[in-house]
Amino acid sequence: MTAVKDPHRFLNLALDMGEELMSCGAEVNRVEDTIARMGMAFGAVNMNVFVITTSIVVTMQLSDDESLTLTRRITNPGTIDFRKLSRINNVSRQYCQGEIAAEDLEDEFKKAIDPTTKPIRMYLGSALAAFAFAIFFGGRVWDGLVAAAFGLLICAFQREFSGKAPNLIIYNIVTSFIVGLGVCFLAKFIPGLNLDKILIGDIMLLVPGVAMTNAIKDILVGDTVSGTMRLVETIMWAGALAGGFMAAFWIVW
Amino acid sequence: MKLIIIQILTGALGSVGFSLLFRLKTAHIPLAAIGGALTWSIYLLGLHLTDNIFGASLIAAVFCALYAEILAKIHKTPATVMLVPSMIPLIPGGPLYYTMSGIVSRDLETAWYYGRLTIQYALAIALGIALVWTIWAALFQRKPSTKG
Repeated sequence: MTAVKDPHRFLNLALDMGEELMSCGAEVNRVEDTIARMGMAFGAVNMNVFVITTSIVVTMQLSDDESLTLTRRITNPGTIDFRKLSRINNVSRQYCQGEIAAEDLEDEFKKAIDPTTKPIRMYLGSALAAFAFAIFFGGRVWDGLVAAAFGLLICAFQREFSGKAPNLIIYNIVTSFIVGLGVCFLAKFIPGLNLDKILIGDIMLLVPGVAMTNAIKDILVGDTVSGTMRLVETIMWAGALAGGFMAAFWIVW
Repeated sequence: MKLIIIQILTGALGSVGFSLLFRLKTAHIPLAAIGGALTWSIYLLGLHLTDNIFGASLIAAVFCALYAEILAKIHKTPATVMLVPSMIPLIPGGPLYYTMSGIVSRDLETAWYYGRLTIQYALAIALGIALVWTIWAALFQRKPSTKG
């Protein structure tokens, strides 16, 4: 609609894009790179971008005596969404190559983050992943099916509560406790089910394996601050999962 | 042998599951499945040849990262999008579980054994990705010119 010619407005939009990228699963490095490239394409002389998982700081230097600094606090941990990630990435690339005019940038970005996801895919994905990994780690088909059923429950939890929970650690303790309780009860009263294989299938859904790997990667490639923050976060998260399962074990066994 | 085939198939199926969960484009899902199957096959092959978990998962992670970077270049999408679903079979969910259950049942020897295994996997995967990522960036990526 309105042309994004005003530097302040443009930088705000670039921060919106950076924040969205961060929350749908982009690496720290990509967010920094995207904002820097967009600023240079806008006509900045120099871009200084610093991103950590919870905040973005950017100074756009427009000329020798004019520069603009904005910061953005990121509070929403977000959910991994690779479709959105690809789309935003495309918008930014096309803008930098001059394929999207400055006045269309805002509309194109809004189109890219349009939430058109079918929940059925996520439920199907959770059930399939839990089923597959219960068998992958040595379970039988029955173990896989039970894991899949609890996978659906985990998915419902994630969709309903994970965005609203003010504290992800408590959220993880509660989720793993409920799942652990359910699986332990079933395994206790139905002979032939392998408790460990079912739980492993469901743990694959809960475990912050992707975040932990990203954290170590961030540290190894030089984004030490972000990496350390995320690593501590994932360790506490894994600890919370263990705590929830432990409590369930102690109650049932 | 039957066990190996089951693992490769369910590994691929797991990659498909996570592709759905992470909302991968439908057209990319078969690629993620193939990536998952190949990554796990290479891990098993490496384990068979070297008998070293760290080495095997490092080689598999390097392969997976290369696979993701190449596909990302072809399909003009961020490499993470292809990397994460293909890498899923390497994530040490099993060892992590046995670490936890070892702690719960006060069997600290088991917990220590599996805990070390979990850390080995995580380090090898991260190292593999970082290695490929660094070399790839040095070869192909033009840095944004921050000087005007």
